[in-house]
Amino acid sequence: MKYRLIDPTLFDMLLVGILFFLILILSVRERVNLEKQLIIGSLRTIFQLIMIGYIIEYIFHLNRLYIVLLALAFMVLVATQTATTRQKKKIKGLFGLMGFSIFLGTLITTFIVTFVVLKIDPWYSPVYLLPLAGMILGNSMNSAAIAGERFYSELHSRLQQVETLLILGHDFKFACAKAKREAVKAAMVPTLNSMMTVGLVALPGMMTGQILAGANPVLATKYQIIVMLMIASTVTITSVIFVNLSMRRYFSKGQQIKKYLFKDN
Amino acid sequence: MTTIIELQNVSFAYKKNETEHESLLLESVNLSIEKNSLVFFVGESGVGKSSLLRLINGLESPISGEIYFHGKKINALDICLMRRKISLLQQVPVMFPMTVEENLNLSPGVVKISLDEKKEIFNSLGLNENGLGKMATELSIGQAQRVAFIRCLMNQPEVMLLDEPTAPLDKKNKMKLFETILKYTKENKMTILWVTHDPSLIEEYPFKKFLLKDKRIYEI
Repeated sequence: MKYRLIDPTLFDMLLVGILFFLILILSVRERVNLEKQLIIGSLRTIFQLIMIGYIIEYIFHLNRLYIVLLALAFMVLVATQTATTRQKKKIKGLFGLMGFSIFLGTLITTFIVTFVVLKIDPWYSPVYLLPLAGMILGNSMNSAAIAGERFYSELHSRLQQVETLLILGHDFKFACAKAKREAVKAAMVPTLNSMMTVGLVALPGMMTGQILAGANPVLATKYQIIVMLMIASTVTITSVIFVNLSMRRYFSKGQQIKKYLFKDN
Repeated sequence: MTTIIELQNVSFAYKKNETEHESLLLESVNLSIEKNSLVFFVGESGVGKSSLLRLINGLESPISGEIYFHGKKINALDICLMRRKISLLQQVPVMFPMTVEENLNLSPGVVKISLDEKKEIFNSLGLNENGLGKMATELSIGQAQRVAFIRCLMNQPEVMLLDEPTAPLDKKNKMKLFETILKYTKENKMTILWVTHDPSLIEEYPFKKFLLKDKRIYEI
């Protein structure tokens, strides 16, 4: 059987609006009160995706190293900003810590996948690098945001225990080890859960996309396995780096916990 | 007599944020504690009695002035080792969700005390030695306070900072804990700095007393 990707016409695309109106009707009927967000969200989806479609097409066409690096740098910046905004407690130097963790977590995984496993040539080939790095980056961003939030709330709820361990003569690393473990676990659990059920309930997005685009399902499976492991790797690396770097910000040089950081604002 | 702890012109206030402080709790305070002595600190709530102990334990840093332990500035010492030598028993005991024995093992200096010795201290504090396997979070506050005291002893400290440890106990247990602390500290030649509100302790025992008032410390 020969695969052929259906190319929807503009009219076909407008017909997707049926789904939009369906959501709108349900939202009004059930008084969910999200009509405004729904309209804005839909418009942003259309605008952002059209824009990114053309940009990616242009980058693919140029196939230049500096353009690919610029695009990646922009993506890292947006991911860092998003993860930083999601933190309830803005500790000193948060943006830098977040950026460094996301950058390193993404770099290590991207390097192994594109350079060691797939051996893409040239190494910056945007057709491979941008979508893969994008996927890695998105997961890296989420894991840093979850780990950061969880680490803070764990420390907050264990403040007395952490201080008791300091009083007994332990250093701050020992005192916050449990909070650290819980934060990394929280960042990893969503990925581990999806690894348990992948393919059983639904086919993952990338695999579905490849099959729809005409790829052999076995080839799509190979890529999906790479993708699942690269996501698990980036989630773990990023959360471990971020928690280890940020924990120092909660303690002073004299092994004292900065209690003022945990006061409710 | 040798001075073990000394405060020179210490001023202190808690931090509000990275750069600002709350209002001053202690101002240019001087204090000298002799080795092997027991001293009481009294004063109204909020005058800075607990803060004084936290300063000496290195949990807080003074805004100005210096604190010395054996004649050395505490901020120049290895703070973890120093906290094992200057042990703080908090007002509300913090127990971890594990057995009593495991809670005791949380002290880094635990290797120095054998199980038999632990049991002996346990019994002398009116705790059943079989209770070592019990979940620490199930203990009454009085029992937890005694376990916390033993946990401090595990580090074999030279100085014990006691932040109203008898406050949650009834009169009988209060005196029992006090007598035990006296016995152990005397036997082990420890120095005790005891913050209390309890007039029965202050009046009954002829130890040196300091009053904290108006950001200063006065000997009474």
